[in-house]
Amino acid sequence: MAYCVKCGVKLEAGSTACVLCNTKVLASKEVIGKIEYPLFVKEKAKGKSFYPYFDKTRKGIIELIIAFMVIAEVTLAITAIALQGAFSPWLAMLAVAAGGLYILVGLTVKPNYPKVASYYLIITALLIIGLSFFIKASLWPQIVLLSLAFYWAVGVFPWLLSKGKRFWSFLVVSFAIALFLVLLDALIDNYLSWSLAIALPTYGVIIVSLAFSAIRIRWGKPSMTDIILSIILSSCWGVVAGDFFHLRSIGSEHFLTWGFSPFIVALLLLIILLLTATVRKVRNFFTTRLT
Amino acid sequence: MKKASSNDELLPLDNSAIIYPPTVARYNAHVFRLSARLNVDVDPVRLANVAKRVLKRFPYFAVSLHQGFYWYYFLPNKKPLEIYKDEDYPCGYFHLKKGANGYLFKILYTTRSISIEVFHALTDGAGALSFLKTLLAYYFELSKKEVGEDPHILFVKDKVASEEGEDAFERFYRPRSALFASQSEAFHLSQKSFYNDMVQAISARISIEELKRLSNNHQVTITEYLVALLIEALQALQAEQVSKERRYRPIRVSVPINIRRIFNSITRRNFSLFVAVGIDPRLGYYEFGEILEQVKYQLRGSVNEKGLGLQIARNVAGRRIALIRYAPNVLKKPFMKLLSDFYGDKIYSMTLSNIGNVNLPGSLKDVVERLDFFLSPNKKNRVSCAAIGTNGYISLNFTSLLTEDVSFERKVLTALVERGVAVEVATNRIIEGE
Repeated sequence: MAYCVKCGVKLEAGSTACVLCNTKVLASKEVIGKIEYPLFVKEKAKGKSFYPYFDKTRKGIIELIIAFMVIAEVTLAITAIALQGAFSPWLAMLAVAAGGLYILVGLTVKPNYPKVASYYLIITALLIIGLSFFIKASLWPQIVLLSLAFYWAVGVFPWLLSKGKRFWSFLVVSFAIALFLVLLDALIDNYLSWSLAIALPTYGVIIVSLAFSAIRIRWGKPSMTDIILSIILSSCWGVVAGDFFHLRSIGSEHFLTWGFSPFIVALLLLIILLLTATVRKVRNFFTTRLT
Repeated sequence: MKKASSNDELLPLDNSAIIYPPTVARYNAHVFRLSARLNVDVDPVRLANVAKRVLKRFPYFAVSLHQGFYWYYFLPNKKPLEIYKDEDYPCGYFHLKKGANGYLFKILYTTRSISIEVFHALTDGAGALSFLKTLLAYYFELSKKEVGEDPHILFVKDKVASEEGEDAFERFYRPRSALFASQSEAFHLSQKSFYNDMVQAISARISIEELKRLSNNHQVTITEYLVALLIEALQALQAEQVSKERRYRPIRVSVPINIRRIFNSITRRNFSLFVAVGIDPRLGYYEFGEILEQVKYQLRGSVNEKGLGLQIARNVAGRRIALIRYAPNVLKKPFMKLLSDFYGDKIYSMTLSNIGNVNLPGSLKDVVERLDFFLSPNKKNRVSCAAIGTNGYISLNFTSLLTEDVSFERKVLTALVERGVAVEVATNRIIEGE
């Protein structure tokens, strides 16, 4: 048996290093000794170590919420049975279930934005579908469901794609907005009125304007002022296009009405941006020649 | 519940056991191990036969755990008792239904050792020691004459006294006021170190005489001295691990006290209480002598019939409140999980359980080389400490979930070496240098 020179403890026979400090034993085999029956079984564990997702405390909170949910549901059901139809428990039961599920998602799902958001959207959709049965409304639940689907496409889906697939997410988002506008129009008016005549062309103009800005941002070296001006420019084009297509849809003789001022602003901005770009090019041309 | 007739056989959990089943988890196994190291080879066939015989003398251990509408309860387990080869990590989580054929304890053996691992809801260290000693006595065919007056060893032919399987907390319950007092969170070791569920043990063998010499110098008991050593190491580690003094937390060691002698009980089920002993480093640095004074004062101040009676009242009264009693188990379970944190794991830095010096009768002394006692650590208190003595040596066993960090064990054991005590260590850790 050897002693650890650092810790001073006597090591079990056969130990070639100290358990407390990992210091190697530099002694002869005779001193280290041999152990026939060690105190502990030193074989590796049969299975891998296991890390349960929920620790005891979180498990307790989850169980507590489920228990309260079940108790609330049962109490509501019993109350309804006892009052023999004077009280309809379904709405309250639905609210309890949805409320409980909202909390449980936060406690059980890993904190990952697309995952959590998707679950919350599903629960909200189920809640809306449930509510529509009781309230007997048809239009607003459909609009809300459409909006939820739209939010998922615009606000969640792009986060599911990897960074290399940004172009696809841009395409999906652009298409989702167009589809949302068309479907919203179809739901509200039962036929396509403002979406095809005004919304989609306006949206098209904004997309084209933004695409130009995006191209500039991607291939050029834009300053923050350039980016802000590009956004203002796209907004102005959007407003102008909205006014323009609205006037065409009602058969007006005017070219533009309230969209005229933004049109002037847009033109000026466009001129400024073009001039800036040209001046930069010219300056670069001469400075590179000089140096 | 299976049948109405089985209600007669139903055994309620004792008052300190009710917290264990709802809070058991992979990293909160509530398992302890008692192990006897022999100098002769173990015959597994003989051990299995003896175990079956001995279990008949301990009918309150021949049970399985079930979940009722209001509480967990025990029912007699008719499945065969099996023994297992000891080839895994000590005090690991075992499935309460499938882990040991429904039994809440496991009998394990190696070529030279017989061990039992017990789920704490069944019994405490003293109850398990009684079972292990009886098992050893039967294995080595000790006669009544050889055993003599050993209170731990029971004979199969003797009638089972009703007091052996009673919930002694109920018997010694006296209603008291001022029941619940909350405490702030204590310092916890190495919360940022890597851990897993493979319990790593370091066993230190120390001469009782040498330890007695040290503790006598300070006029304290061995338990008090060991608790002070742990607190001293925890204080040093808190200073290393916590950068700002204002973030220091109190250091408290939970010391289980076997209260059978105090209340004159022979129950083999749980009948121990915890006393929290500690210091508050926010008040300043404590020298070892000061820690010893605190430990001595706090431990002795708590271990008396009145102080412990108050704890019994707390355990029993909680269960008697109608709101708790008739609340469904599905509600109690999560509450207990949360309460066990606030009133248990969080407020203690670690546990030191010392069974004390165990006297072995007759020829057992010649065949049992040493006894070992291990506690399962948990996610909050990742290192636990247990001690047991026999044949002139005490085994101070550290069990840890930490995969690499042994700084606490090193601090405690080197402190003993520095005070002139010879310490012999063994481990199940795979050491880097080996």
